[in-house]
Amino acid sequence: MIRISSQQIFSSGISRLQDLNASLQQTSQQVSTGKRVNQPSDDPVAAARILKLDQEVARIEQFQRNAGLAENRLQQEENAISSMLDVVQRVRELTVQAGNGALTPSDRQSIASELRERLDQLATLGNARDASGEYIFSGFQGEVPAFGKNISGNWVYQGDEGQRKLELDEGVTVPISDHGKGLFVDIASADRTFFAEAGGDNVSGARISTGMVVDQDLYNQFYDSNGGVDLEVRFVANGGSPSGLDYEVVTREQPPTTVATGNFISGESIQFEGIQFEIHGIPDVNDTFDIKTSERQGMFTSIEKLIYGLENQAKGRARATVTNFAPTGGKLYINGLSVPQGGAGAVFTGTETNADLRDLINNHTELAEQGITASIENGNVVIRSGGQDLNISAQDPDPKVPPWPDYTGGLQVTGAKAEDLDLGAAPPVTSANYQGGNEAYDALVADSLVNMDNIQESLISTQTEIGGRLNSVETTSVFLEDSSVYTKDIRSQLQDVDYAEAISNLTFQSFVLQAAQQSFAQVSRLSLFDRL
Amino acid sequence: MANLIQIGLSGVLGHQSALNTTGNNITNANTPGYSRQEVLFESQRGLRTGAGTVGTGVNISNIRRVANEYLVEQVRSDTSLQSEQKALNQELSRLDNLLGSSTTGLNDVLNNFFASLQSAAEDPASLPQRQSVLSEAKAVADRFQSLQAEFIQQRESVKLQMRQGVEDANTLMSSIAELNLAISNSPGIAQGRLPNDLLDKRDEKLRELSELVGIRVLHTEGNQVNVMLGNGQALVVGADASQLSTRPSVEDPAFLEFTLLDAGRQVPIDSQITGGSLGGLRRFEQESLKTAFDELGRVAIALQDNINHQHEIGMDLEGDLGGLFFSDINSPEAMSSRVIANGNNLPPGDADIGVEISDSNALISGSWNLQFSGDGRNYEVIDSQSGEVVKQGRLPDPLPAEIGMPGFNIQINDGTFNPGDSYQIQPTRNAAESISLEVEREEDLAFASPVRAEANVGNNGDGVIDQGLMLNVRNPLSNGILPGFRSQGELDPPLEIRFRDDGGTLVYDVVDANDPNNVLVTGSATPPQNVYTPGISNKLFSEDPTDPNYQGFQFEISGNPQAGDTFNIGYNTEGVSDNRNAELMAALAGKNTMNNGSQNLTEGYGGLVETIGVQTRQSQLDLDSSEALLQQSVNQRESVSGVNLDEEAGRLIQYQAAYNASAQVMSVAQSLFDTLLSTFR
Repeated sequence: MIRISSQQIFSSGISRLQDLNASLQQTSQQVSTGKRVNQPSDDPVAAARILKLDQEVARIEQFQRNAGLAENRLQQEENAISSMLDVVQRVRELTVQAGNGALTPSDRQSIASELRERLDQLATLGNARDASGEYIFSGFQGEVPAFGKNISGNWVYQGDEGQRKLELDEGVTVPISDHGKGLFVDIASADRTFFAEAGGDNVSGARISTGMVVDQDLYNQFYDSNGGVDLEVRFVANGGSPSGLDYEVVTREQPPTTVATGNFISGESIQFEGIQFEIHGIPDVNDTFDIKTSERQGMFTSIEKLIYGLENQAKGRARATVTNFAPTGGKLYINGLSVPQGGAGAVFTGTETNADLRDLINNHTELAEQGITASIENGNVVIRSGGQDLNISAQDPDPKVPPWPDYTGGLQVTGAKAEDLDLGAAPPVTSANYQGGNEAYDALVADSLVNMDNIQESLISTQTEIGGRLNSVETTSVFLEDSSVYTKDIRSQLQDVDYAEAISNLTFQSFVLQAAQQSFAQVSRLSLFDRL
Repeated sequence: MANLIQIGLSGVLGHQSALNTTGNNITNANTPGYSRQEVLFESQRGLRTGAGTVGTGVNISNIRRVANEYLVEQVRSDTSLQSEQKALNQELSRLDNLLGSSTTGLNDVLNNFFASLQSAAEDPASLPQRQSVLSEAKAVADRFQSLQAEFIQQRESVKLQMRQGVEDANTLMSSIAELNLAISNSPGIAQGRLPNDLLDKRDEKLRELSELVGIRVLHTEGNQVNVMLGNGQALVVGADASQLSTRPSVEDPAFLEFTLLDAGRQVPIDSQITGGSLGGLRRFEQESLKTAFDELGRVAIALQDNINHQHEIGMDLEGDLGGLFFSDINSPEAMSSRVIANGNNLPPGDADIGVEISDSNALISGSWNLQFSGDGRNYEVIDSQSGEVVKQGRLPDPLPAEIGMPGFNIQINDGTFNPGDSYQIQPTRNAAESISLEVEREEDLAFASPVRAEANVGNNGDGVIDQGLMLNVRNPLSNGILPGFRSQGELDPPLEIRFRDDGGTLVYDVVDANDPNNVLVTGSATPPQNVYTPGISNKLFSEDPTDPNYQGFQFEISGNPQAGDTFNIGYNTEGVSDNRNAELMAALAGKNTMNNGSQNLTEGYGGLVETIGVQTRQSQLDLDSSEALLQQSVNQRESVSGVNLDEEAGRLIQYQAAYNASAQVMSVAQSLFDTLLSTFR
């Protein structure tokens, strides 16, 4: 028989009660916190995993916030682009209007001024800002407006090629911005073109105009022959020049090749190899102007070139200079109309002078209708068209029955685009075309239409891309939502208490505690001394 | 008749003593350490008569203390075990709660910090977002410091408990010595009559001492005991008690070591303190608290190192390079704070040793002893935990020397070393304490990358250049700033990549963009240098710091550039909307930057939580089982020595009855005497 001391009865009873209390307390803590693991030691392995899952949940929540922010940004960009598309569409309509041959110079002026308005509107949209005031199309340089006017008054891109990306999930990033260079600058041009800009280190305020390609064929030939090398306009002092400067156009290569030279006159068109531009102001002798030849042309440049064409090229009339006029008989045909005016009998007598020729043309009613005029400059007769091309022929281009007489005698007319009329040449050239401003202008309008299409295409394709990104943000959000639920579920399995089990434990433990208390009370009451 | 009175009287007196003893048992039923006593009766020597021997009454031969020395010993050793586990568990639970709680642990602040970086990456120029990154970063640094402060507080509280424990032990030891003397001097001991109360008292003192430290007890002459530590170091010999004490450890003064005053000399006995609460506290210090310090420091260093590096190669809102985000892990103070000279080192003690963190990813936590031997130039690096020699060698002459360890270097710059000198190397011990936020202004947060690239507008090909990846602004070999980044706010020189046809092969030259005639690297088809392969992504510049082509950054060009095309690489001036570096910093949250690329920061911290959690759990189980063992041995002792009141009540009745009966004997003797007297009246 085991001997039990009275102390044992009490102390074992008490320690048993303490144990029960402790486990009851633990269960009740589980029930009240809802957590199975309250200290890491409750389940160390689960605790470490819970930390990891906590991090996972926090990251997912952050990614979900990012997805929302990315969506906002993309929508803002999308809005800016679709407003721009509307404007570009209007510019395109204006371009089509500008192609109308019946436009008067003042019509063209008014189209040009609307285009300027639209250009400013596009610049405002291109300089769209986000909620914190950053320019959204400037790449990395959010505090620099994406587009600004350079010294020559042309809109140029001032940002960089930076693109902001946001992480939406482990390893999944989505671009949330597009730089203006890719959107509005790197756009395929209808044909080879150029971009004129003052050099970065210029000290004078001299400006260079947008310029335009006046003879695409010639320019293409030039472009292809040297692989599209960029050009540079520089200056050399020359006392003989009215401005004291000569300009020099050279290629930007080592060593440079000279393409064109001439006396520099402010505002005077510099023409070479089919392109034309003007430099205004007095440049410093060390100043340079860059002519970047390219097959791409930015949205702003395209519209600026169109405006330049509308404002400058419209004035251009075909010009033919008669350098030798010694008729012996017959008729001259200007745009198919005979000079002298009249039927087959009205012919040169052989005594006509330059002044007579001028008068014959100026008094010609049909020619006057076309706006064709003549004048004497430097002793030569200069024939100008009203804007259209000028065709001068020594033979009737539209032979009649019976035929009208051909011109006889000496005749030389210069200023043709290709080959001058020269009866003295061997073989004689009996007909020549003198190009009016309209052809270059028409070509510009046609090119501009293509350019507008390309701009629209660039904008629409970016729009599509943004749509795609929005889609992927959407799917990522759904995925994040799923994995959030999943991760929280796992965490809950590790960390959260099973209420059914915990409550049944609690009930059972309190029952046992009660029983232990009662039995302790019973046992401790037992004493022989009570019976004494 | 007188004889009968004598007999009755002996019964009365004997049972009175027995009743007293029982009474004493009853009243001492709750006295700790009390062993119940029982009265041993013996009959008195009888009178021999012709008819035989007539008894003369009862005599008390001894009042015996019912005790079993083996069981007492068992209780003592189980007490030692239970006290050790209890002390260990108490401290561990505190640490466990501290690390695991979301309000005191590291996890939440780390998560918040990285979340704030992610948010800021969406709008890098926004000052409020930047402010939030700063405050979250501050919270991270503060949390490291407050965790470290809690560790330190716990270290100090453990030290306090140790000092108190040592004082208590000294009191107990001198009490035991005094009791030894009192017992051996007590009268009647030669006749086997032991001073029961003193023995109980001594046993109880011994038990109390075993609560503090594990002891062995040896019985000697004169019922004295000698008390020794586990390995035989004497604490009490007879009537003499030694003096335990503590002092700052010579290896690491932040901790205590136990010493024993022996012939006026402090002998370190640290390793012999096992068991008891002192042993438990020591175990907690050695096995848990130091690990916690080291592991937390390792996480701090990994965070500092990675964030600092990423921030350093970024560009702030004002166009300057990022610089430090948190404090520098390899500042001269930090490096020298990782080395502690042993207090016993011989003069001159002029060593200049530092520990440089070379790779936080490979860094392991722990502490090492750098020991010198031979002529003072031979060294050994010994793992403090395992005692293994992990590295040995000889110092070069002249210094400096560098001893490479996993993730850190011990740099011995100067000094004289004596054989026997040692230095404790603690690469991560105090890192969590010294972490602080270096960035002060929102504008100084480097969320951008300092380089960008652009294709020339006049390019004819469709080649595309990316925006580049920063590797470093310093040369990792020399730690000097790379030439390109030496002037503030610019890339010097800015570069132009110019494509050229070299006999049918497309190559590119790297040109100084400020001076088109200064070709820095000329491309050529043979030998291949800067050859462009169309159709794939071509990496510009090298990522290998030993390559002369190393620029600290890399760019990629893809597509089909044509000869004559140029690309410009320059400083990211005004790049306030660039979020590349912020994204890369935020990505460090999930990047495996610890344990040789197997753990991220959260997992690194989780490892510490798990280690302490497992230890706490284990100690909980150990405590439970040691409590059960103690309970069992206490029960066994109680069942022998404990007082059962019912039993004593029974004895009370029994002795009372015998007392009454004895008195009755005397009364019979009296009435016999009266009868006899009246007969003669």
